[in-house]
Parts: sequence; C-alpha cells; structure tokens
Amino acid sequence: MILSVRDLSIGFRRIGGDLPAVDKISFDVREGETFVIIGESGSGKSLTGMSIAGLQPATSVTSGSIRFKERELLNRPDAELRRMRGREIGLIYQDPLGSLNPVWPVGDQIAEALRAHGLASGAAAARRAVEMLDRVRIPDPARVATAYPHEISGGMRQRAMIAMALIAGPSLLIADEPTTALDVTIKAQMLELLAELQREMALTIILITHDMGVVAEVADRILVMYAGRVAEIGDADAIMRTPSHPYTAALMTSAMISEAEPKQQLNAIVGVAPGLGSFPDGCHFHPRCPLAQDDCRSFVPPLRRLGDVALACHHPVGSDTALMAEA
Amino acid sequence: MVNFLLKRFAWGILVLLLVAVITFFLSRVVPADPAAFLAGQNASEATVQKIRAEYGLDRPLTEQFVSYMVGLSKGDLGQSIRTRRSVSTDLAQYLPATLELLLVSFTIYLIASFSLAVTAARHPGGFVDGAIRLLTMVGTGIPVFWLGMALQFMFFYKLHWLPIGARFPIRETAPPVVTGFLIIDSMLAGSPSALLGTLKHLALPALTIVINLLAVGTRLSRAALIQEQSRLYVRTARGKGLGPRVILYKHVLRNALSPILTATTMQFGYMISWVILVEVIFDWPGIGLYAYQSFQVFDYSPVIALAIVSTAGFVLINLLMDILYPIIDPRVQSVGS
Amino acid sequence: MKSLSGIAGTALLLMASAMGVNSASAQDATTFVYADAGEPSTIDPAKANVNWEFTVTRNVYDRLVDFDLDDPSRLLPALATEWKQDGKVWTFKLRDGVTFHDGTPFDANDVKATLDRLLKVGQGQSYLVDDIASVTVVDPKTVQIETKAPTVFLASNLSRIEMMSDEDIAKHGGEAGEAWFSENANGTGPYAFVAWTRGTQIELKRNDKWWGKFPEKPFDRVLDRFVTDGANRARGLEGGEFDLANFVPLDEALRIGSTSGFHLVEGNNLWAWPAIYLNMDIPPTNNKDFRNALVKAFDYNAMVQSFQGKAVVGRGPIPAWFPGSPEKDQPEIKTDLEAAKAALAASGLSNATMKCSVPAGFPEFRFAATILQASAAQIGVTVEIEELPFVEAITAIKTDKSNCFVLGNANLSPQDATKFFSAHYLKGGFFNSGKFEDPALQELIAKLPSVSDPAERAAMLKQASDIVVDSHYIIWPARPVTVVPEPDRIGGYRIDPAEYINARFWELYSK
Ligand SMILES: Nc1ncnc2c1ncn2[C@@H]1O[C@H](COP(=O)(O)OP(=O)(O)OP(=O)(O)O)[C@@H](O)[C@H]1O
Ligand code: SF4
Ligand SMILES: [Mg+2]
Repeated sequence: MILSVRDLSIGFRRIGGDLPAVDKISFDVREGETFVIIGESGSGKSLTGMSIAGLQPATSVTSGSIRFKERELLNRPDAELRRMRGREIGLIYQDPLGSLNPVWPVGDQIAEALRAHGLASGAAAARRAVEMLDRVRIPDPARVATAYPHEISGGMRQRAMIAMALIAGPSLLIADEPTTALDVTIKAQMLELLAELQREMALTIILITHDMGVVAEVADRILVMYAGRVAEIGDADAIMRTPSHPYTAALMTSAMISEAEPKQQLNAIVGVAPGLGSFPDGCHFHPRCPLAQDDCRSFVPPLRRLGDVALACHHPVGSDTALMAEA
Repeated sequence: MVNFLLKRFAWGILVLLLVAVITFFLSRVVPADPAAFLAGQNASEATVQKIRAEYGLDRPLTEQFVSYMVGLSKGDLGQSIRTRRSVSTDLAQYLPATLELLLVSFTIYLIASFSLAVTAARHPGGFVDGAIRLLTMVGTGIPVFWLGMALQFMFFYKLHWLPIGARFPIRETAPPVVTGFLIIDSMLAGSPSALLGTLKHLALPALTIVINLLAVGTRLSRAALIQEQSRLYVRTARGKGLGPRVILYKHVLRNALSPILTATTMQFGYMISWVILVEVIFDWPGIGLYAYQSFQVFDYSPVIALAIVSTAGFVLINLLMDILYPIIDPRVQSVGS
Repeated sequence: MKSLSGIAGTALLLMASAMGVNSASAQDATTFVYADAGEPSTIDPAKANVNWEFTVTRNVYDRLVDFDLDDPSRLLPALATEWKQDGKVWTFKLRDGVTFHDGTPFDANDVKATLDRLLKVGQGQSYLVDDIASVTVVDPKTVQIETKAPTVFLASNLSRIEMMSDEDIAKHGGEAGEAWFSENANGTGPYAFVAWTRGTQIELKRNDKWWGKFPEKPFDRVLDRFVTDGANRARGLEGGEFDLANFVPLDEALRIGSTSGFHLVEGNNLWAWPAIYLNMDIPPTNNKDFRNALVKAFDYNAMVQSFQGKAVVGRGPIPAWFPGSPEKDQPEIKTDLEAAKAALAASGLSNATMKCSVPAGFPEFRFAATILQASAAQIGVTVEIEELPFVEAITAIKTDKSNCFVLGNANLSPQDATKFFSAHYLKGGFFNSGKFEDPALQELIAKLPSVSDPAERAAMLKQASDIVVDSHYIIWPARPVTVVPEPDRIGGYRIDPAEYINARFWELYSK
C-alpha cells in the first residue's frame, strides 16, 4: 500500500460554519497500479488529489489522515512536503498552458525540478531536461527545451509537463485530468505514453478524470466520487461490468449514449450536481437518483463491501437482499 | 525591431510638435505683457514698445508662430524674457538639478515600493500587508504641497535635522560643476562632506516625492503580485518542490513585472507633474521652479520648453517600455517585428 | 530580498546618521545670508526695477549722493562730495581716490557715460532723472548736469542712480554687448560681485578699499539667496539658515520678532498698501458723489486690523515722513456711513453696480476689495470682484472694462513727489489707471521742481494733495508699517523710507 487515505475532509471556512467540499473519504492506492478518481465537476476530485501533495488551497481546512509510504503527510509543514513534491510525488494538470510559466523556456522549467532537489545543477540539469523531453517522445527535444510554452503545441506542452513531473524520479504520479484539454488522437497517445512510462519507471498513477473512456482503458481500480463523498470504490473491471451504485450505473449508461462526446457524458444524468454548500441531507445523490427512497433523504448511506467493491448506497442496483446480508 | 523603433520615434516627434503648437497658442491666449515686466513700472510706452520689438512680441501671431517653429526645428527653444538668456542655456543649467532629484526619488521609490509590495504579497492579509495598505491609503490622501511643508516643519523647523531647501549647504562651497549632478560632482571632487551636504538637501524633496509615489505604486505592485500568485503556474512550481522564495522571485515577479512596469510609467508621469510643486516648496533650482517663475511673469518660451521637455521625457519612457515589454514577457511581440 | 532590504536599511541608517550631525548653528560670523524674495532678471543698474535686483545693484554700486534715512530732507555726500544748483545747471565735485572693483579709477567720465547710457536705455529707474538734458565733463573731478528745466530735485533723485564704469560701457555697451551687464557687475560700492549661481544665489564679497566706513565687525561675504516662498523665508530665518529675509509675511514677522533671539525693526516705506483706484471715465465711478460715498463707506478699521494694528490710515497720498508732507494739516479720513449715504443720495445712483479688477497674488489687495464690497453693500452698492494677472487687471480698468483697480504704491525718490504724481495722477501716467485729469494739478506738479523755497514747495504739495483727496479718485485703505524681524546677533538694519524693503549690507554687522 503506497498511499492510504482515511477520513479525509477538506472544507472552506464560511461565516456560520465550515463548508465541507470533501467529506470523510477513505481509500488505498496500491504500488504500481493506476488508480482512477472519477466524478462530476465539483465533486472534490482535484481537492483530494492535490491534498495528497499538500497543494490544497491555502484557505482550506483539512482533517483525517494521508499516509504515503508509511509517513503521515496531512498538515505537515510546507517545508517538509516541499522536499517530497517532484522528488517522490509528481504532478500534472489539466491546463498545461496555464500550468507552465509563460516567461521561462520549457527546458529551464523542467531542469528546475532537478535543481530544486539538488539532483543536478547548471548545464547538467539542462542536459537532463533535454533527455527527459526525449523520453516523453518529443521530437527535436533540444529545440523545444529553449522554446517558450506559447511556442509549442498543446500535446507537446502536456508531454513537457510529464517530463517535468517525472524528471526527479517520483514513485507516485498524480495526474489531474491530463487529457481533458487534448483532442482524441493526442489523448490516446498521451495515455499510451503514461502507460509506457509507468512500466519503465515503476510508477503508481492516480488519474483524475471525467472520462469513462479513459477509465476503461487504463484503470486498475476506480474511486467514484459524488458531491465530496465516495460513491463506489473497487476493482475497475468489476465496477465497469456490474455497477452497483445507481450513480455509477448512470455514468456508465450515459457514457454509452455519447461515446463521441466525452464532455457531455456526465451531464447526461438528469439534473445537476449540487454545489458547495447546497448538499442535500441523507444521500447526496438522492434528488437525482431513480432508486431513491425515504431513507435516502434522511440517512447517509455508509460505505459497505459488496464483493470486489465497496459502495455507499441504501438500495444498490440489483438485489437489496445481497446488501442486507452483508450488513 | 529597428523599423518599429523608428516608427515610434517618428510618432514621438509628432507628439512633441503637437505639444509645441498647442502650448504656443495656449500661452498666447493670455493677454499678458512680458515686455512691461522687463521695462519696469515707470517706463514709457515707447520703451515697452522697443522691448516688444526686440523679442518679436509686436509681430502678428502667425508670424511669431512660424519663426518659433522654424527656431524649434533648429533646436532653438527661444529666449527667456525673465532671465534674458536663451532657454536652451537655462535648461542646460536647471535640468541636471531636476534630473538628479527625479532619479534619486525614483530609485528610492522603486526599491521601496518593490520591497513593500513583496513583503505585503508574501503574506497577503497579514500584519505587514495590513500596515502597508493602511499607510499607502493615508499616503494617497495627502496633497504634495502639504506633505512637503509638513516635512519641512518637522525636519527643519522642529528637529533641525535637515535644511529647508535648495541643493547645497548655504555656507559651504559647492564642488566645481562638471556634470551638474551634485552627487556626481561631489564624488568627482573627492569630497565626502560635499556629498553628505548634497544628500541632506536631497532628502526632504525626494522624500516628498517618494511618499506620494509609494502610496499608489505599492498598491498597484502588491495587487499585481497577489494576482500573479494565484496563477496555475505557481501551483506547478510548488508541485516541483520549489520554495516560496524561488517562486516569488523567479516565477511570480517576472510575470508581475509587466503590470508593475505599466504602473511605474504612470507614476513617472505623476512625478513629472509634481516636480514643479516640489521644486517651488523646496527652492529647488530645477526646471520646475524655472518654469513656475517664468509663468508668473508670462515669459512664454520657458513654459513651452518645459512642456516639450517633459513630453520628450514621456515619449522616451514609453519608447523604453516598448523595448522592455517583449524582453520581460516573451509572449509580447514587439509590434513592428 | 535580503540584499534589497539590506541596501535600503543601510541607506536609511546613513541618512539618519547624516541628519544627526547636521547643525543649524554652524554659522561663521563673517558670512551674511540674505533670503531674497526672487531671483534678479538682471543686475544691470540701468534696468533693475525690483527689490531683489536692487539688493545687488545698491550694494555693488555707489551713487553720487546719499540721504539720511532718518531725515530724507538731508542729503549726504557719496561719490560726490559737493554739489550746487544754478538754474538748469548742477555741478558735482567728485570724491578723490575712488576705484572700481576691477581697479580702474572713478572720475567724471564714468558719471557721464552712466547717465548717457541710462537715458538711452530708458528703463529701470531712468524716469527719476529723465529731465536731464546733457552731461558735461568739466574735469576728471567735476561734472556738470544740465536739466531741461530747473529742478531742485536732481541731486535727491541721483541718490538712486548707480554709477558704472565708462570703460565697461565702452567695452560691453551698445546693441551687441548689453547682455554683459545683465549678469556681471563692476561698481565702486561696499560689496563686489563674485558669482551668480543661477536659481540659487548671488555671492558678494566686501570691498575693503571702499571709500566709505564700515561698522565694526562687518560681513566679509554676503550670499543673496533666492527663496521664492514667503513661508520658507520665515522658517529659514527663524531656524538660523538665513540672517535676514526680505518680505516676511506680517503674521510670521510679528511672531518671529517676539521669540527670543529676535527683535523687530519697524519703519514706514510705503505710500499706500493698497490704494484703490476708481475709473473716472465710466459710470457709476465717474460720478464724484458716488466716489465720495465709497470713500466714506469704506471700513478703514477692518483694513488696519488685517495688518494687526501695524498700519495707519492715510489722509492723502503723501506719508508724514516725506519732506514737506501736508499730512498733519489734512483732515482724517474716517468711515462715516451717514455721510456715505448722503453722498450716494446726492449722486442719484442708488443700487449701482461696479466691477473691481484686482491683480492676483496679493492677499492684501484682495482683502481691500472684499472690504470695499462689504462696505459698499451697506449703502446698497454692489461690487463685483475679479482677480486677474497684473497686466490684465490694469488693462481692464484702462480700457474701461472695470470701475476699479487695486495697487500698492511707494516712491523711490526721497524728496521728489512729482515723479510719483506724474505716474499716478497725471494724464498718461502708467499707474493713472482710472484716467484722472486735473489741469490745476498738472500745473502745480510741473512748477514744483523749479521752486527753490522749501516752504513754498510744501504749500504747493498740500494743494496738489488736496486736489487728489477732494476728487475722491483714490481710496487709501491703509498705510502699513513695515516690520522686519532681525536676529539679535545682527545689528545695523534700517528701513529705507523711500524704498520698499532694502538691504544696506554695508551698515550691517555681527554683535
Ligand atoms: N479555493 C477554493 N475556495 C473555495 N471553494 C473551492 C476552492 N477550490 C475548490 N473549491 C470548491 O470545492 C469543490 C470541489 O472542487 P474540486 O476542484 O476538487 O472539484 P473537481 O471534482 O476537481 O471538479 P472539476 O472536474 O471541475 O475539476 C467545488 O465545489 C469548488 O467550488
Ligand atoms: S442511497 Fe438512495 S439515493 Fe443514494 S444512491 Fe443509493 S438509492 Fe440512490
Ligand atoms: Mg478538478
């Protein structure tokens, strides 16, 4: 178990009490696997992912526990976490253009990750940056290294981001919607590249996405989030084959409806996801859930095991009895 | 780039010409008679007429305008009626004093506003930030002349720390004029006491300018820094394991430099307009005081010259900015290239 | 960041320590610092016409005669040791052994060259001697001056005319070279011109070869500083930066004079400050009864109070100290609302409206106009005030666009009132802005210089003065006392009654 998250809550201070954006979620990530977090916009995926590297917004309040390689990370001083970022945990983001500094050459920004950890300096770091660009399959890496972010294509930028995230040799890569901004062919190349690098570098990957297609392609295990809570978690194949949580099931259905338009997928579910501060009582999903009953409106469903998965639902898809038995 | 600069330069010349034309006609609208001032109160009308002829003030306006513009094209800024010398000679005399004051003030301002803004931006909402915000707010509300007089009252009149005005201790001998910049001339003369005297006289007028600039400047720089700090690339930088220092100085600052530079250009403009007031308050023998005294006796040429010189200053600063922006931010293409 | 704040910190420390060692008391007793209200436009005696130009010319050059500041009727020898009038011809005997600062001797040729040039240039103080017809060198020590008509005032007016060197005039004079005199000075006077630092100061040094007598412990070096701001002059004087200052605002002067280490020197050097001129050509001020109503309505007390009591109300144009002044025999001018109302009724101009142009930049002028406005309102007359630049303001009344104009006046001549009357009350006079005309007055003033009996002249002066008073052409709100704060460490400052703020550096000494 490389990462172990327990009862993680991330809230924002408001007059009249804190608003929880992430509400007591727990999950484990195994060494070498690709762990996918999926959910609608605003469900707390990025907050969860970023908090692992200690990059949650400064205005947020966190509680619970995040253990990475047996070390507690949550609420550690930034100076300590800093030594781990880049070196042990790499990060890539959704918007590679905004995530790169516009006024420094790409190669310089990559080399910086080495310099920050004293792994190389000066010309050596610059050389290794070019090598790393080569490893992420960038043609003419020496030229790209001297280019500014706005001078290269979107796909190249994301590759450069990957190079930057991995150059200092981390064992965990957190990728927050790395393909969302890219078109379909580039997206496929990018997933392929990540898979290859995972093998070559023995990476554990936490991949955050909207996109069920991505899930199907790369996921070993899945965490489905809804409105700051875990809906369903477990083996990817098991969940994809027989989604038990009504929310997961809805996701799968809509994914099939609009295969070509991944952006539309999650919107295909009737209604809209509740925003921060307007979460309903009981199960957060109940206003949109076709299976909702009275208890769903008052009682928060606990996370329960069901075969290879765990889910939080009073009335899972399929038989009620199976769940009753488990209880 | 060269092409672009040439175009900008031509544009600048056009602006200067326009300013010359406008100030020329504006100054002639005032029905005042500098010749009467020269002749003295009890001079006969014939004497006044003779002086008018001497300075060409009796000729039709269009004729005066043409000869002024012809002179201007040859770099002749005309004659000062008050000082009875050519305006160019006067400017050469007074400009170094003004430039010295402006450069010293602006350097202090840059360092101070920068340090303050950075300190404030490091912990937005913190104590230092709050204190700076309060101070800059107070600073914005104080008129220049009031501040100047308050400083005089405090440091000269009450504390006897600093002199009331002028550029150099009255009873001491100033270093020989080489550059006209007393700081440099004192150093060239190898005289620490002259340098100290020069700095003491610079202190209050410079402080007056600096405090007024700081108020607005620090706020703008702080805002630019804080805004840049919320950008995504800052998260990336943190994600690499960079410390707050590197992030601030290497990543944030470089990006905030463009808006800060824009603000700085504006501040430079304010400073040029304040310099007249400051020079009058502190008897600072620069072009501001020169223009003010000339204006009081309707001596036109120095006033027009000041307008031209300060516009030239603006044009130069803007040209400099046009060169600097693409260097600071590679996304900005220099327009001509 | 560390290095940046480090530099800033060091700079601050340096500044703080520098301030600490500053000492306002580091006066050397031999240098005298005078805070002048402006920078000369020229230091050419033929062109100088404001106080801060006279500061230089009066000290660097000498005049043929001087006069007793305490009794201006008494003339004193200067470059001339004797003089006498014989009809139109005056003869002056010149002092022996006088040299210019450049070493050349002073003689009759210098006098001739100076006066010829002055009259040719026709600027500055030349009007004081514009009745000279010719100057003749009799011998190196004797010069004869012939006037157009006999005048008893020539010698006293020459007490204002600085003597230059004929060599200089030959060398630098004429059309091309006149500029030299604007910024150079070579006189015979008590102080020699050293250097002019534009925008800052003119430096003078004591002429120890001067023919006159310095007091004990005179100043060897004089710095004439240009300090345009009145508050700065006051503060600098009080703070010890300056030894004496020109035109210190009255309230500041009184305050400084009452602090320890200072005393006040008081004297009169103004004929009126201000005087309100009424336009004789346009209604309603062309009506004598109307003008009378304004004179009677004016609240003189308010004006005197604005000078904190340091003023008297004049009874006419001529101050009491002036030789032959009729002041003591003239009736007081007082506020009398009843008489004002009666005069207004006689004018038949109730509810009239008039406009008053005030030269900008003189608070006292503005205040006088405001008093006039308030006083006139009491008898139902409306006064509109407009503040304009000097030339515009005087042009407004001269071109009949305004009924009234405010001005201060003084007379540079210690004995001769005719120049003053010509400029202010006779046809064509520059300051006769309201266009007053009176044939009898014209005749009196023309005749006055030819009358040799002082008593007879005094009688004529009274007539002339009465004509102006009775015409109600002018309202004289106040004649303030000039107050100069002098540090106790310095002595010898005297107020010249015929010059608005003077500085005779050669009479000053340190105690
Ligand atoms: N700095 C912040 N201040 C206040 N609220 C925030 C902040 N950052 C995130 N939130 C809120 O927390 C919730 C979860 O945000 P998060 O970015 O984790 O969502 P997400 O699941 O990653 O969505 P998306 O798919 O749009 O990236 C959102 O409702 C968002 O409004
Ligand atoms: S708990 Fe109820 S509302 Fe929530 S998902 Fe299950 S059935 Fe739907
Ligand atoms: Mg997100």
